[in-house]
Amino acid sequence: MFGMARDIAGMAWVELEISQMPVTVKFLKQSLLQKFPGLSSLLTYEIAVNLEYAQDSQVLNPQDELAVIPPVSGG
Amino acid sequence: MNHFRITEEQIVCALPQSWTENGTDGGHVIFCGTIRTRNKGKDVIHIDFEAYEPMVIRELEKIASRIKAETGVNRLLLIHRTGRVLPGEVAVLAAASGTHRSEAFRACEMLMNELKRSVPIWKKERTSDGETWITPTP
Repeated sequence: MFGMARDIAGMAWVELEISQMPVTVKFLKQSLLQKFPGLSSLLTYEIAVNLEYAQDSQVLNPQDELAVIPPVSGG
Repeated sequence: MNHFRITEEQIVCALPQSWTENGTDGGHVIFCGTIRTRNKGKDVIHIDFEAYEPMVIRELEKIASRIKAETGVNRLLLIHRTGRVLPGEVAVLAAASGTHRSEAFRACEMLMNELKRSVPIWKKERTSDGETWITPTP
């Protein structure tokens, strides 16, 4: 979790138990919203899978590195 | 060879000597972004930057490939701060080097635009009113 997402969740690292397989990015986002309803205040956010922006339809694998990417503001 | 780096150290608004002295490129354009003392009518006390560093580097390499293909520039450089940056200090140094100046000017601007669009770096601004995560500005 980075930036505003981390502040909303109150933690940098999150554990989610997912019993439904296969898991898509879309399902992950829904699970995150269930666990942290405050995330709905983020107008938008992306999920990165193994350092790449992912589409909602992407299927996740157990070893994937996932990150919640709120709107970026570098520079 | 591109040079992309995140640092907690102060950035000097200048190219490393090794960058220019190899002599392959004739035109070098540098951009420095510094923290302003005031933003939207408020006094800025400091800005805290954070980055998802491995993804920053990966995104910048992808961006660099696109910029090079489109402009013909040879090399790109970007150094970005993380941690606390004070008004007047450099938050980002971007540079483009090419055979001639026109591609370098264009590439440097593109690099900054792409940085602000997709590179996973975030800034939290502290003013006298409190702290806020900054939402993207074009």
